[in-house]
Amino acid sequence: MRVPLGWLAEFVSELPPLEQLIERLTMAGLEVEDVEAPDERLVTGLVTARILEKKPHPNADRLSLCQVDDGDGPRQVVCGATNMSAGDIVVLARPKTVLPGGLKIKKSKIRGEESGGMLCSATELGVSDDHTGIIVLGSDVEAGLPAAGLLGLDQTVIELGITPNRGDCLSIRGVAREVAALCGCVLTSAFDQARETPTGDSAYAIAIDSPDLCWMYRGVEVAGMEVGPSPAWMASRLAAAGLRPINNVVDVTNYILLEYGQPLHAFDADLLEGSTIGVRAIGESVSFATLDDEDRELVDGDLAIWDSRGPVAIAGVMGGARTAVHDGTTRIFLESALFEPRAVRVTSRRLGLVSDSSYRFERGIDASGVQSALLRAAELIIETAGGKLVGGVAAAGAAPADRAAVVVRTERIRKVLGREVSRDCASAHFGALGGAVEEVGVDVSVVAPSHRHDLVREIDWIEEVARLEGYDSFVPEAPAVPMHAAKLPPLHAFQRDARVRLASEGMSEVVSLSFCSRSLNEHFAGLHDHGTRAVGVRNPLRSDEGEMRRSLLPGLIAAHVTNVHNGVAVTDLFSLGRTFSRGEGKNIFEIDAVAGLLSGARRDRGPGSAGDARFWDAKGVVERLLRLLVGGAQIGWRPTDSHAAFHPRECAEILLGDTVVGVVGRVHPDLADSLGIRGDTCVFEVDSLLLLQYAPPRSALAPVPRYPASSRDVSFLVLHDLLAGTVVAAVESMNEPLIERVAVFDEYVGKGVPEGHRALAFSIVYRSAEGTLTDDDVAELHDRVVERLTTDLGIEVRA
Amino acid sequence: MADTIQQQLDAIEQDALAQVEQAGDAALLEAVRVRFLGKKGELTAILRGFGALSADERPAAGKRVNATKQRVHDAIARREASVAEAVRAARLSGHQLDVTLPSFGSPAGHIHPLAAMTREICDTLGALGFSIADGPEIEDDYHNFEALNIPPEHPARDMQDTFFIEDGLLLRTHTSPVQIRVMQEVQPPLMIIAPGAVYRIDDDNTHSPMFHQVEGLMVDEGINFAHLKYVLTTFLRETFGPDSPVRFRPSYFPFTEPSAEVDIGCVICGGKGRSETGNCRVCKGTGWLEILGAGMVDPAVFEHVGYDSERYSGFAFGVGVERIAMLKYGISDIRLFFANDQRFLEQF
Repeated sequence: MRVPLGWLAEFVSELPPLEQLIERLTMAGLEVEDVEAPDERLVTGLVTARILEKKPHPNADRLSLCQVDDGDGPRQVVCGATNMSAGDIVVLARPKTVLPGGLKIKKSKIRGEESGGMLCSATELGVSDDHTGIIVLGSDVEAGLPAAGLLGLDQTVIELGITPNRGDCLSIRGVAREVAALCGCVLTSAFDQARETPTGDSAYAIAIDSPDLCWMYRGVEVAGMEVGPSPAWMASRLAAAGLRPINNVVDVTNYILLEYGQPLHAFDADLLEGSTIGVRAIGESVSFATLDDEDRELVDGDLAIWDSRGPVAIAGVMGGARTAVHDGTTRIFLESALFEPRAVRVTSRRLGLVSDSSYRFERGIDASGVQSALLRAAELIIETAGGKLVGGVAAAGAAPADRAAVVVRTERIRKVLGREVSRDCASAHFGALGGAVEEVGVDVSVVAPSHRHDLVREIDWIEEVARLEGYDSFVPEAPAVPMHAAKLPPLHAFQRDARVRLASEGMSEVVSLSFCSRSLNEHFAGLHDHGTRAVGVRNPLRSDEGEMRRSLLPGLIAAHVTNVHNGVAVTDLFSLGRTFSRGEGKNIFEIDAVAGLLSGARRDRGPGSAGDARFWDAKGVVERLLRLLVGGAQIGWRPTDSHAAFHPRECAEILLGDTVVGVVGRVHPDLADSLGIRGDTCVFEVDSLLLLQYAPPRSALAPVPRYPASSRDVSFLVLHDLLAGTVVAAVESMNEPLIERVAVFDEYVGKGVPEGHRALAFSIVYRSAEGTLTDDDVAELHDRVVERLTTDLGIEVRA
Repeated sequence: MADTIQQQLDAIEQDALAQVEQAGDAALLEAVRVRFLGKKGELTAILRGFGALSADERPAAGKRVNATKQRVHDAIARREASVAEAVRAARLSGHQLDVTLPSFGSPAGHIHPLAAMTREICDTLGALGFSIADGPEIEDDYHNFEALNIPPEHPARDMQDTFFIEDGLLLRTHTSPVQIRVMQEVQPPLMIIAPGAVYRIDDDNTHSPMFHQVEGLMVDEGINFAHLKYVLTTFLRETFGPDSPVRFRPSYFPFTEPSAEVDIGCVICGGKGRSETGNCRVCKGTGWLEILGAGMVDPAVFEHVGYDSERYSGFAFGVGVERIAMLKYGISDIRLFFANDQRFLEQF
C-alpha cells in the first residue's frame, strides 16, 4: 500500500516527523517497506513540453528529431520513441536533470544532431513499468509547467506492507485512523465530514438474488458530465499512489477506492439496459468480456451484476467491456457494494484476476463506508466532470448487525503477555482503536468498530494491547522448565554421523530439489518396493519437475554432470533426503534415504596411483557407512539384475538379514551414455529408517583372546559364478568354535586357471579360548574344513 | 713360565683390541666377544695353561688374565656404544623429507552448508531443551492449513503459494504442520523443533521452490510472550553473536496471536542502514533484517488438537535455514545452495 504523505496529512493533523512515523508504524505491525522522498535533482528538471515538429533523424533510422516548446521557446531533442506526434504534450528532462537510475541528462550531440534534453518514458522516471513509449500527457496540459507534480514525483511516499488481517489499512483513511491511534494525533474535520443523502427516488431498482454473496448494494445516477482528463491534483495523487490516471470518472472511482478502501464501479448508464440492476450468481457458464478486453469464463456460483440483457460486471472483481465508461460517456450509474469476501476470492483466483477491488473485498471492507464513499465519489465526479445527481440512492441490503461485545480479562492479558496491563490502560487502547468500551469489574468489555474484521475474540484484543503497549515493553524472561534431556532421535543421530562419515570419505554433500522428471523417475525407482507409482505434482514450475523424486540418484548425477561441465575435477558426492512414491489407494510413502556417487579416478590410493572407481569402492563406502550401526559381518550382499538403473552384472542388494536396505552398483552403461556420465560411475542408495529398524542389537562383548591364533591359507579353483560369499558362508555354517575368522585374500584369473574358472584364496584363522592350538591340531582341523568345502561346494583345491 | 703366559696374554690382548676396532656392527662385536671372552674363548683357554705354574705364581697370573679380560670387555663395551651411536646417527641422517608433497588418502569432503546450518540451529535449540520431531513433506490441507487456522479461501493462503499433489494433498508450505501432528499425539508440556524441507511456488534469487525451515513449539501451563522473547533472543544471540540487537514487532500469522516478526541488526552494515555508496542493499537502509516469524499459539489451533486453551499456552516460531545461512556466510543468491557447484560446496 503506497501512501503519499500529503494525502495522509489531509486526514491527520500534525503528522509526526518522518523518521518517527516510520518507526511507530513498523513497530505497530504496519511495516514501512520503502520510503520514496522526492529527488530535487529530478523534480526541478522535469517540465511539460509541446511537440512542435517531429521528423526523422538524418543519420539514424530509429531516432527522430523533435522540436519542442518547454515554455522557454523551442529546443531540439533527439528521441528514440515513436508514440508521439506534433501537438502532444510530453515530459522533458532538461539538461542537469538526474533520472532515478542515476543517469544525468546533458546537452549533447547524438549522431551529429543537437539534443537539448530527453523526452521521458514512465519507466525511465520510475513512475510505472510501462515502457511502450514516452509519456504523453492530456492535450489540455500547458507547456512549460513543472511536470514532477503531475506524475506524483514531488511527494514523499511511504510503502506499507499490510498483513492480510488488516484490510482496514488498505486505504488512506484507514492508515490515518491507525496513525492517529498510534501517535496520539487528531483526525481532521475532513475525516468526519458528513454528506447529505440525496432525497428522491432513483430510476434504478436493485434486486439482490444472492443475499448470501452480496450483503449490501448502493448506487447513484450522475448525468450530464463530460469525460476528460482529471485535474492535476488528483492525477498526481493517483500517480504517487501507483495508479495510472485514465479519465476523470474512472480516476474518481480509483481515488475513492484508495481514500476509503471502498471499491466502486461506474457503468455507462446509457449502455445499461433496463432499469433493474440484478445481483445474482451465474448459473450456466458464460463467456464475459471484462473492461480490459479479455474474454473470461464465468461459471456456476460466480457472483455477477446484471442488467436486463446479461452480466455487466464480475462482482467485486472487474466491470465489463459492454458498459464501460468511455470518452463520450455523459451519464453513469455508480456502484458501491459489500460483497462476501470468500466468494470474491474464489472467482478472482479462478480467473487469475486480482484487482485492487477484489484484493480489498477479500480482506473485508467497512460496511459503514459503503454509502459515504459512494456519495463522496459522486460529489467528486460532479466537481471534476460536471453533471448532477439524478434522484436518490438506489439501495438494497443492509450493513451486517453490530458485533457482539467481547470481554477481555486483565488476568488473561497477564497470562498471555507475561506482565500486568491495567484495566484502564487496556480500555484506553481499545478506545483509541475505535472500540466501544465498557468496564466490567476488573475486566473490559469491548465492541469492535465496523472496519476491524480481525477483532472478534479476546485474544485478538490482547494482541492489540501488546501492539499498542509496544512489543519492546515486554521484558524477556526465561521459562522455568523441569530439567529434561533433549536427545537426538535415532534417525537424526544417524544422519548426522553419516554426513561426517561420508565427508571423511572425501565425498561432498549436495542438496537437490525434490522434483524429478517422469523419465528419470522411471529409470531410478529408488527403494520404493511398496510405492509402485511416482507422486505427480499438479502445478510444477517446470515441465521436467512434474513428479516427486523416487530416488536421490538423479539429483546426484545432475550435480555430478554440472560439475563436469564446469570443468571441476571429478568429485565424489553424497546426499541425504526424502524420496517419494505412491502405493495402492492414497498411500504415500516417504523414505529418508542416503545416497552416494563415485566417479572416475580414485584419489585415495596415493599420488600417481589413481585407478577408476569400481564396485568395491562404493561397497567399501557403504560398509563403512553402515558400520555406524552394524558390524561388517552382518551385512549381506546379493547380486541382482532387477534394478533398471544399474549394470545387470555389477549390482548388489544390501541386506540386513532378509531385508533389502539398499542397493549399490555401477550405473547401467546405456543410462550412463544417455546421461552423459562415465560408464564406470558407481552409486549407492540406502533407506535410513530400514537400516535403523533392522540393525541387529549390539552383541555382548567378546572376551579379548588370551591364546595365540594360527592362520592357514587355501586356494580353490571355482566356477566363475560361484561367489566368494558362498564359500565364506559355508565355512561359517560349519559352526566350528575353533574357527575365528575366514576372509578372501586373493582372486586370480589367468595363466594356470582353466577357462570359466577363477582362483579364490582364503585365509582361515583358528584359535581356541582354552589354550594354544598345536600345529597338529590346526592341520587336522584345516584339512577337515577344506575337505568339507570341496565336497559340499564341488570345488577343488588349487595346488 | 709366567713370562710365557704374559707374552701370550699380551698377544691375545693386542689381537682382541684390534679386532674390536675392526668390528663394524653389533653382530661382529658379539663374535669377537665370544672368541676372546666366551667359555671356549682364547682368554678362557689360557687359564688352562695354569697347570704349568707354581701355586704361588697362580694368583698373580690369574689377576693378569682377569685384568686383560676386563680391558677387552671394556673395549667391546666402548665399541658397542660407538657402533650403536653410528647406527642411530645413520638412521637420523638422510635428506630432509619434503613435507609439502601432497598427502595420501582422500582429501576431506564437505558437508552442505544447509545441513551444517540446520545442525547448528538444532544444536542451539536442543541445548535449550527442544527435541527434534519429524513430519511428512507431502501433507493434507487439514494439517498444512485448516488446523493452523487457515480455512479455505483465507487471504493468508496467498502468503504461501502451494504445490498440489493428486487427491487433495500438497507439498507442505511450512514445517508448522509438524506442530499439529505432535500435539495430536502428546499432551503438554512439550518443547519441540521440526527441521525440514518445505515448498512454495516461488523462484528468484531470494526464493527457491524448495527451501528449509526449523519450526519450534513450546507449550505448557503459564508460557507467555516474555518467554517467547527470551528463547528467541537467546537463540539469535547464540547464532549471530552476544551483542546482536534483536527486536520484535507485530505481524500476522493465522496460527499465532499475538504474532511477531523478529529482526536482528543488519549484519552487513552493522545496523547503520548506510554503506559507503548509500543505503545498505541488504537491509534496504533500515538497519534491520527480518530473521524469523513467531507468536503465541492461537487458541483456535489448540482447539483443533484438543488442548484446553484456558489451561495451556505456548509459543511457536519458524526459522528459515537458507535465510540465516545466507546472512551468516554472505551468500546473495539462494540458488547457489541447490546448484551443487563443487567450487561453492568446498568452501564449507
